[in-house]
Amino acid sequence: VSRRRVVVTGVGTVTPLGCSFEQYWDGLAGGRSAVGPLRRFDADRFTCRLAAEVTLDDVEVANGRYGHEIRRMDLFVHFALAAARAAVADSNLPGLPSNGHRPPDAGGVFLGVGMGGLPHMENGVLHQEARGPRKTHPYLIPSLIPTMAAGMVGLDLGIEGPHYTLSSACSSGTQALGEALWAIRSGRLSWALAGGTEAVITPIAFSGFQAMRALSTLEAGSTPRPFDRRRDGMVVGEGAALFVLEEHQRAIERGAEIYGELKGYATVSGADGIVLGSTAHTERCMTAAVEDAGLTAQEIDAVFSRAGGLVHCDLRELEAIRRSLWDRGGRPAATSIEGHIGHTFGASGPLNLAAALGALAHQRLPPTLHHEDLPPEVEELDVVTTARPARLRNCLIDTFGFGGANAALVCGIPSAATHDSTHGFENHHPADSGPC
Amino acid sequence: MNRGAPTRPPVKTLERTSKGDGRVSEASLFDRVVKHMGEYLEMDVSHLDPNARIATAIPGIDSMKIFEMVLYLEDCFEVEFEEKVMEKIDTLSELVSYIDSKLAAKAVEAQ
Repeated sequence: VSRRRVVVTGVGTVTPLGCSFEQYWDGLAGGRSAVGPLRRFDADRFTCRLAAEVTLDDVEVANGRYGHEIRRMDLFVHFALAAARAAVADSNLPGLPSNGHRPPDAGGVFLGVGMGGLPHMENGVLHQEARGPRKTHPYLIPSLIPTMAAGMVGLDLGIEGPHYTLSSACSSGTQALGEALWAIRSGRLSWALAGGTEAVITPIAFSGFQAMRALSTLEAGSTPRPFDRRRDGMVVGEGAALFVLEEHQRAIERGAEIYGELKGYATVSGADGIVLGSTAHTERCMTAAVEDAGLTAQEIDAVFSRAGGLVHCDLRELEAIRRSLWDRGGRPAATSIEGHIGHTFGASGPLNLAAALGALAHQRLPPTLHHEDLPPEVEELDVVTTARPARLRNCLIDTFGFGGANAALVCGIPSAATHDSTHGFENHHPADSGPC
Repeated sequence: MNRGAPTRPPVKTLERTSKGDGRVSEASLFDRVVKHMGEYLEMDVSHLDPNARIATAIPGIDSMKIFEMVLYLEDCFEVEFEEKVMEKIDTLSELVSYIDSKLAAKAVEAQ
């Protein structure tokens, strides 16, 4: 029995490289880093004074029926709304607002949120201590609860199927996409809006990560250094990426343009410590995702890695790539976008999916910025250091969240892609694909 | 990017009337209350009359907006409203009278 396939028919991104998918891809492929001196707050007292910040003037969503409420929401909700509206507009999805459609056609929202409204929580506490609990803002709780991103997306766009919020730290968005994939595959839904959002550039987040010695203290322009021998920590980023996922046949029948197929997903629990990824469990997860896609290691051409320059985690992931893919005959290149946009926590999987879809469409891999030398244990692996053309059929996206949340996705060119309905796939062969 | 609740404007010294009791004139205070409500709601509410019911006369108003608007008005007039009194206030005229009484009490305290 052939199973239902799921394709991406709309993309919306909010990133430190720009707030359109085109700007994002151009920044990635062009090797542009958005990491720079932190501007959102005065960071003088922190050891890391760098961040990859979204230009907030580019995110104007406080309009429509819920404009008053949206204005009071924390940034992660704004980012999700901007990305959701862009994805839906991009997809030309018919039938919104649903006006009473029942599942499966009412659609659904699956959103990954790692930390939710941490900035509002911090400000709320400070405000309470300064002015007393009586002056606490009535919108404080709604503005920061993680579910509000998915909730506002559903209300704003009129999506009347279920909405879910998944919170598994840095695997949140990957799990949201994977669960949406499985919901459509199973027939419960015919389409969904799925992805992740995160915005925690706030002092308490920096305190917390500084206490864990997780933040880089190197100079701007040289960090973060994914996979590199001299890596010393991550840089905080922010953003959102949401996608319209549709059952393949439905997308074909309505003439939707297809960015790629979401082919496989796996999520497993396991870690070497509560905040430390594990080679064995990452390998297990990657292998299961490739199997779920019905592919072999040889059919995976690139890994969009979670590596963010963390001293202990990056190496474990590289070893897992070797065991799950290279030791099984695959030779995928590995790349990390964290030198471009920093670490985006719950949005990192979705932002990597957007990067992978850009790579598939352009048959080109973005570079791992600031990477120079691989650790000796994994020297044979292929890390992309400069943007390069590549024959890309399928990409694997890997994330790890605190608490042992491993999640991986496989996306690729639809096996029966048609040139007139598929973004950029006419440039399928490396020989044909010029610079972006 | 326009985010958050409107910022409270700088509090201006209220013009005192010839009553000598620290109160502003009812008409002047009514206009000020309506003006601040409009600032908070970011809409023109100058059509409201004293008998307008707060919970129903303003399009789109709900309990959350009323709670937030009360905080805003407190900051504008530098007074604190009592919860039990506010629960009973229905019309704009009642609200204005209540603010007037709080201002008068504040003026007495200042003396």
